[in-house]
Amino acid sequence: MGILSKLFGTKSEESFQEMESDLIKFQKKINAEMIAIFGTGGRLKGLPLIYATSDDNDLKKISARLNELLKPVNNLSDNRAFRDLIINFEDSTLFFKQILTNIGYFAIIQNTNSILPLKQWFYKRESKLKELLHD
Amino acid sequence: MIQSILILKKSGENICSKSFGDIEWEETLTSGFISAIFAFTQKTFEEDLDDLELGPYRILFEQGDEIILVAFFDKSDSIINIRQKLKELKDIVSSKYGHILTKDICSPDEFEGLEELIERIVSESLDVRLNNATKSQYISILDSFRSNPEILDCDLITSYGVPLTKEWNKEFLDLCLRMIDAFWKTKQYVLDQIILTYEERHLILHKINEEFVLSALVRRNTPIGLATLLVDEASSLIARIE
Repeated sequence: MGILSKLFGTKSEESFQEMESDLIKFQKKINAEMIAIFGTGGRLKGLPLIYATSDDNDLKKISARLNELLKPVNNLSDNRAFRDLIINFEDSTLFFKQILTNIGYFAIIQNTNSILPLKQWFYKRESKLKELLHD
Repeated sequence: MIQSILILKKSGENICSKSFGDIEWEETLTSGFISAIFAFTQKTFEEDLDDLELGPYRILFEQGDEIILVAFFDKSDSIINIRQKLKELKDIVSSKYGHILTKDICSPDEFEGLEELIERIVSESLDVRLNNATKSQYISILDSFRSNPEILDCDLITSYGVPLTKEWNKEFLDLCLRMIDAFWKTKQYVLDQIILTYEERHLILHKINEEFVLSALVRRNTPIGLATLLVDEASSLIARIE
């Protein structure tokens, strides 16, 4: 976690810790497999920044692979400004939302659960997250 | 509405694409996107890809032995309806062009008539294919159900998302279809009934069988127990019709 205050120079370590505790609480509450705020571009690309998961390795792999997927999505969505991506698998759902040009938010939940709480969590904290993660 | 249909070989070659909306999907970018999605799914999840939502659009995949069919459509459309069209298209393409599809290399020129076929299937309305006698029996049950003072309105909706008796307000039908999709999409639980409550009115969607969902709009302040009982009774009558 210490790395974040170095990456985002002017913000305090406590602000990131507070956000991560909030995310961990939320992940437990909705029983999500993983939830993360991660880098999607520049020096942060593929780097999980604030996250809640029971398997760190899986989260790192998925963050990296999701980045590989985002390039063709962005190519396809050029001029259409798609900000949300939802992939429904047989049993799980992956929800992705772009926060800033180089930072995204994703979660994996069981597909029997609604994605609405994921959106609500994000919208309630959108401005705080943007302020915290702005370079 | 369906914005676009794309047919690819599993190896990634583009066989045919056809746009119906204002949005032109650039073929190369779309094929790249589809390949990336399948690669991501295979590497990351041990599960099959079902569908995908991208901004205001939904993307549905149907796989045959040799091909992948992709439909880009508006999120408000019934996924059941689109899936049915894709399955129909897959079956016809596989049987009509099967001998070409098994070749290692094939060019789009070899698929003569495919664009017209896509156009026909997409524009075809998945109307209720019932004989008049059966339809009259359904309508008679619905009329009698509707005459109950607790019931404001009702209709049967087919599993393809087509209402049986009347024109619906599009926005309201869209809302119902989004709910009805869950009857066929949810694999882990078998859903029988969905109740939406707004302004103290209940809209009950009751799955009768694989063909029909009974929708009933219940008068304000009617107890939910009574409402579901009435819906159960009407559903049983409809289910008895051969």
